[in-house]
Amino acid sequence: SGVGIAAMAVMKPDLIMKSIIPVVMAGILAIYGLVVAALISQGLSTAPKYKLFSGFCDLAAGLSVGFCGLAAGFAIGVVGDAGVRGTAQQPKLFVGMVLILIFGEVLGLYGLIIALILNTKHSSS
Amino acid sequence: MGDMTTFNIDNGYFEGIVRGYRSGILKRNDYHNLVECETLDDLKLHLQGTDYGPLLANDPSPLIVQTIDERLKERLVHEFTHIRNQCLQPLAQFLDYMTYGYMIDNIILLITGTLRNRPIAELLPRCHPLGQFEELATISIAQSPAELFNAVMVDTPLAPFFSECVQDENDLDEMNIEILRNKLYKAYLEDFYKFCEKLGGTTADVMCPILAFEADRRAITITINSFRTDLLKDDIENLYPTCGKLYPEGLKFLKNAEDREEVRRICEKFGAYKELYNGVGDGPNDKTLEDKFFEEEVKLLALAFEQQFHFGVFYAFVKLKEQENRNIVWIAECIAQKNKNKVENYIPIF
Repeated sequence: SGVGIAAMAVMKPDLIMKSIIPVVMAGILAIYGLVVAALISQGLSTAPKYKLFSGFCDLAAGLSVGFCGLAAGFAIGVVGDAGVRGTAQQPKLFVGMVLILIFGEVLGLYGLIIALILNTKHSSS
Repeated sequence: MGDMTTFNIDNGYFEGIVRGYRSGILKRNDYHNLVECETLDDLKLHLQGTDYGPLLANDPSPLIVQTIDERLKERLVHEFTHIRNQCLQPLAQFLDYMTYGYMIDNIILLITGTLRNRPIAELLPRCHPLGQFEELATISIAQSPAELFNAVMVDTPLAPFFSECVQDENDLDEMNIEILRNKLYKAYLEDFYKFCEKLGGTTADVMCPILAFEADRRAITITINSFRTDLLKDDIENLYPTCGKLYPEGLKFLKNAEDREEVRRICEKFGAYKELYNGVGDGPNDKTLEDKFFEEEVKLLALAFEQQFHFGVFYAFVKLKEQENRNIVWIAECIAQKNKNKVENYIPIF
């Protein structure tokens, strides 16, 4: 979406700040990953206190938030690019673009939720 | 499958734009309204209700047909260049291939004009804007194909198409210019076909039948036009593009054809073109062969929009928009001349 913003900013510089939204949303996905990484590293310790089950839980949590974030980022990038270019020409498209971006962002959010559930699972076992 | 996941990364926005343009193409209802118009101002009013909107708003009445033609062409060029300026490879190269056809027409226009001693300033505005390139204005200095190539064309993207023509040392006169045009177009069409094949996937599936039809249409048209001239059969064979369905047997038959009846028989032998001659004739209700070709082309192009994630939509959009422009200009001419007998002879698209 950064490429799209650069392309459309030449003609419509006042829309730049509104168009930063896809970039911010992609950044949020990275924050999800950061949160999960922090939680996991908090719970790490050495064997035998750290069970195999907990190890697998943490691995699953990391993988889930990672891959979901990857998919969400892919979607947000493609939609963000087309969306900002279209919004430059048709301002009414803005609301639609934000809605689509939110639905894409939610994919990463689901990954975060699963990771959090898995993380709490192993602390309670 | 791979197309679906990766096409939108680079080309999603452009396909979206082209589909938007496509939904603005006039429907049968719009054509009915246009045909009912009595004056060109009525026509302008009806066009304002369609996707064209304020196209003719700045032109004073009384309108003439030429203004309508110019505005329509400007609109198409504007839409095409919007996409061409922003897109990435390989779409950019595909769009460039589309412009080469117009470049060839422009070159031939300029050479013909120079032969008739028209000043270059008069000819340049008549060139098609999609076929502009830098060396266009310098074409008039060339006297023979070899000179044309070495002095002018060698730096342009059309250079590889000249390889067959450069050996021809004859001067450029009326007949040889037509031969030059057909040779250039043959080389261009075959190159475009190979390029689409190399792109593969859905693009090849959609574009190759369209280009094959174009090749066969050219072959049949060249054959029919050559009846009036005294070209040698072998020379004619060199002008047939080889990427069509008629290659190689059909082209051999076409080469030896002597009149239109024989061409008709040859077409009926090949299943794909059997229906082509239905309804063709010289009577008042019959269509001409050219009309049938246009209809068939429109059918193939409209089908291109049924699939997603390929470049054929861009080619189809430009060609269909051109056909629409021809339709509108035809209707406008009938209205302007107050002769509505043949006004229904446009080709509806959707």
